[in-house]
Amino acid sequence: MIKLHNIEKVYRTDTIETLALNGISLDIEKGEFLSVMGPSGCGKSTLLNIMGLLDEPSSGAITIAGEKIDRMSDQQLAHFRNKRLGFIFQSYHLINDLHVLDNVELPLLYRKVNAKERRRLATQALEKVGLSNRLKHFPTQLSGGQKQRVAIARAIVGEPEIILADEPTGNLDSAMGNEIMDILLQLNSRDKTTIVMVTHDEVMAKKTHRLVRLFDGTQVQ
Amino acid sequence: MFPHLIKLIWNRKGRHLLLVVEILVSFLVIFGLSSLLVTYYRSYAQPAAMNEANVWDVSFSGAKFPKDKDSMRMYVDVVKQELLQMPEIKSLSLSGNNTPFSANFNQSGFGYKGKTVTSINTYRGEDNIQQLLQLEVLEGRWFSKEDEVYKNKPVVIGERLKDEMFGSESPINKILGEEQTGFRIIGVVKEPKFQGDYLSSGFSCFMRVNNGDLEWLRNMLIRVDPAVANDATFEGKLYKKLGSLFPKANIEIHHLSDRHREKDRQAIIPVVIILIIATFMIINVALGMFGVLWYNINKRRSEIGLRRAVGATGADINRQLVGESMVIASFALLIGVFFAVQFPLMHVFNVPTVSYLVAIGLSVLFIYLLVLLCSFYPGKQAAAIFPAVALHED
Repeated sequence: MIKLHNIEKVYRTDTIETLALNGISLDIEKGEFLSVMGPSGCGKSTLLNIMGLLDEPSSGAITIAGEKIDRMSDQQLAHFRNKRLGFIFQSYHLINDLHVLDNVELPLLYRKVNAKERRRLATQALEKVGLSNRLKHFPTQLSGGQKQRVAIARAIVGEPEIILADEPTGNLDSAMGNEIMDILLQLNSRDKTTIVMVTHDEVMAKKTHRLVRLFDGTQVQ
Repeated sequence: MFPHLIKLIWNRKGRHLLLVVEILVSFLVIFGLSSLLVTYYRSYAQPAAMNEANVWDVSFSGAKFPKDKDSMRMYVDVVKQELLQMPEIKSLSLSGNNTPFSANFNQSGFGYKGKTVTSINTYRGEDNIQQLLQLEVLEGRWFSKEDEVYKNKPVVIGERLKDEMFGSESPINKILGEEQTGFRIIGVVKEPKFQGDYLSSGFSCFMRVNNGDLEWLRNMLIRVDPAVANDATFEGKLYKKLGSLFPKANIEIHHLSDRHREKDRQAIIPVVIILIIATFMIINVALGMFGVLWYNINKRRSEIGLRRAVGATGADINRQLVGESMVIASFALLIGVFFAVQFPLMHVFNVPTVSYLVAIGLSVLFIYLLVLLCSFYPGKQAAAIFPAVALHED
């Protein structure tokens, strides 16, 4: 599903050059649940951003769902992200001035889905994460776990083939973290969604199919 | 996308209040300025409907006339004959002191069938003043000797007063005021620009000088030969002549063309001052707006990153931010236009409705352009933010 070949990412300033990723090659199968672990600053989020087409590698090749991701225009990249990828972030990235339902509808807005259909799909996604009673709440009125469930609903509303989760349980206590993990595991087993999750939590990582470890930008496991 | 923008802006209305107020204030300033400019332009575009070249305004305030009406008339006739004997003087007419381009006003109100029009500039002149000033008669006729015998005093009105009071109906032979004592309209003239090129001459009504007026009329319009129009020697000669005809009077001679230039200058100076103030205000508002938008965009980098992640292109982000600014501007303009339309509805300053409407249109257009300009660059910058960077900053 996702093929990374010899990915390198270098951050350059006037005086310093930092190698964030060094020759990463990965082959993630369709329906696989992969976790990425490593100490802070080892390049986990950079790797996830590159897989999510939010950042460009300095060198190397990426193929997602059979499509080579090089020389894609800004519009093509945006379209690809919208159709095929779902994102979950540690800090949720919800828009506090929009209701839960409007937050979940957001990806469909860029897909030109009509308002009625958007509403139906967003409600359905929120039902899947057990938040059908919070449609008209603002994010600020929700707990951390509920916010993350909204973010998951937003990630799955467009039925993407791949979900990229950057420390989805990082801001939550263990009970809430387990709830979120259960939802992700269910999505993976029920809908066969490919999931790549960056985590610091060994227990969570062990629940996934495969674990990749990074250290100083290099894959060590 | 549009309902989404409205919802987002409405939910953030508290934070947009400052911007709405800024746009509203700039709209009102632009509306004031454009109303003035549109009014001036509309006056400027009108034909002069008169010719002041080679016409002098002679005032002889303090001149003593005989008390008896007949002696007074004879005295005035002698004065006029004396002056007309000078070959340089082509024609002359007694006039009220509100001569063209002067600062004096003589205003009255007239009614017709229950409709009253106030602030009508009333000018007095003799039968030849129409020829002297080359006024253009549109309907009916100018004054003549025959008018002396009619019961109702004759008046000639300007076409603006005719339109206001009679619309498309002909005003000829209609009586302004009471049937017995009112004024009979005998003609309509094209509105002469007695207030210069830029100021509206308002409503005008011309009355025929009669014997009763002589005791207080102390102005005379004189058309001179073009060869002496700028001849100081002749002016001196005329001054002496007038001095001998009106001993102890305070004689003043003004060239109408000079007065015309001065009137236009007086009209333009305040516009230039307002224009300078408005320019500074607009620059100030534009910078403020630019700053607020820039600040908003920087505060919303995380949202921008998220939108890019879920499928927005750079162009979508730019469109959204510019669109938001335009919607906010529309809120402000809605309030501004509500206030602005009160001006034509309440006939403030007697400016024609169409001038106000054009001014509102121009101001709305100007504000939208200003907002577009101010939001385009911040929007473009926001569109260029790399999603990973924007998401990482939260």
